[in-house]
Amino acid sequence: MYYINSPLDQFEMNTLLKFVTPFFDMSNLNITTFGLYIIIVLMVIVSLNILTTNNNTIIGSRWNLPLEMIYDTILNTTKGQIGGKLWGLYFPLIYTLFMFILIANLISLIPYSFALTAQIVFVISLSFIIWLGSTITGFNKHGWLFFSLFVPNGTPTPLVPLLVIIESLSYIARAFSLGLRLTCNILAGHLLMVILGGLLLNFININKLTLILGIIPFAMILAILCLEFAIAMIQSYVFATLTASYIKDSLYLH
Amino acid sequence: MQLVLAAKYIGAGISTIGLLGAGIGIAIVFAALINGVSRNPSLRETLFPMAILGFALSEATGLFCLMISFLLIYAV
Amino acid sequence: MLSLRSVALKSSVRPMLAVGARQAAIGARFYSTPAPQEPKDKATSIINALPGNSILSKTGILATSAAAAVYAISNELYVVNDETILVCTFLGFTTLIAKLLAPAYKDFADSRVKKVSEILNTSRTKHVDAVKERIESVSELKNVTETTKVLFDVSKETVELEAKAFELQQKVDLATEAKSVLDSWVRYEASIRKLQQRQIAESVIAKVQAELANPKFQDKVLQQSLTEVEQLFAKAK
Repeated sequence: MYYINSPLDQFEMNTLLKFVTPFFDMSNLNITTFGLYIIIVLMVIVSLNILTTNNNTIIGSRWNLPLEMIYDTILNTTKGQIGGKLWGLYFPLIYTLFMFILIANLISLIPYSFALTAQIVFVISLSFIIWLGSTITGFNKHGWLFFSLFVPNGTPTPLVPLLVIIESLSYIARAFSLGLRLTCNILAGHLLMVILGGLLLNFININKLTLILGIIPFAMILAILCLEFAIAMIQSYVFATLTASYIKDSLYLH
Repeated sequence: MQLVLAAKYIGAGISTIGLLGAGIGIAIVFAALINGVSRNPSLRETLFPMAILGFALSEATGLFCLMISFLLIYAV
Repeated sequence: MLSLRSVALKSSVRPMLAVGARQAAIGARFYSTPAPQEPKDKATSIINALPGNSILSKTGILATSAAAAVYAISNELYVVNDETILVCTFLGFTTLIAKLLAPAYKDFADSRVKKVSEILNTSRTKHVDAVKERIESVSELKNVTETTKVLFDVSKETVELEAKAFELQQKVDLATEAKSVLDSWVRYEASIRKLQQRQIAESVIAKVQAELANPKFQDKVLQQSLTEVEQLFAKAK
């Protein structure tokens, strides 16, 4: 029997396949809900890319057009954000991040499914790794000159210490705000949906009049679901764009 | 214990006030988008991604408040 | 994603407007004149929307699904909770997408695919035409070997003729050279002869004059002439 007691229960992970070994600790290989959904996302992306090629003809099927559009959009975004000569090196990373987050967000909107990107630990570690990688790239490329990122151009001299503190704080905050933005959006959306669903269920259960009147809040939840789909796409786009802009900062320093 | 519970709910309620700023921010972003597009409709393609970025950034600040309120209700 | 969104916006605006207008018209008609056939049409439209071919299979699907739902809920195989509402909203969302967005997207995608395939086909036909043109231009030169043979013969002949002409030219040149040399010789000899004659004549004249200057000769000539005159006179007598 599976009851939902708290709206946060939908984000809990269960172990589906356990490795119990006498000598080594292999619990890292356990397949949990999280692992299952990662595999599902991978399968969806791979099958989207394989099945839509229309048996390798030149013109893909109708399903191939969105993929081409996404590719084109991310390419243009990366080119616009990073620019210079090096943007092509970082395009695969950004496209992969975008596709993963987009598919994970969209899959999480199906009822009874699990929201990958609502796992704060996962998303913040992802964003922290991106931040760390871009910082290391910056140090590798510019050495100590990298710290000039913290002093904006044309700052009056008395303001420099203050601005350096503010800029470095905002730079460090990027590591968490990048992931927290995505997680909060998805988490808040799912919680809102579940809470509204519970409220509507209570409202419907009162009597037969409210069962019919329940269509109005039902339409509202439908609208919020549409908004959630829009947010799922926008947030993955924003994640990709901000990753590109952080990489640009460490590559070209302003 | 009841007092703590009441304080928790009051805190959760108060923390949603931060959504005010997020709402104003989103409104400013889209007002500026409409302004820009009505002044120069050919810039629509370049202004729209910027507006979406600004929308997401200002919406996230409101959602941080919302997250605090959820945490206060369900996690504390 | 931007282009996707803009496409979705563009495509969704028109059908939504159309649907709104249609609903308003139906509502107006409903208020003005009650339509007695409306519920029956509605029911048949719902029945038609179900999968299956005959009425029997459709009612069967309906009955079995309703029975399965009742059984699942009553035996607590399925618990109605918050997520049930979300399932309903998700189904509503998918039908919304399928009714409104999918046909517009299908039109757009078809036109896009058609455009791309047209571009590909036109480029292919262009290429085929270009190849055909090239083949035609090449096929005009198919008896090129014979022509070249003839040309080679002609050129060979001309070379031979040129050689002959050159030879003749040489001969002519030699002849003119020899002639001019001989002419110069002739002229030289003639001039020498003339010179010698002149010298002889001069020497003779000089001798004659010298003889004339001699008195003995003068006497002798005088004597001779006298005798001749006498003879003449004697004859005349």
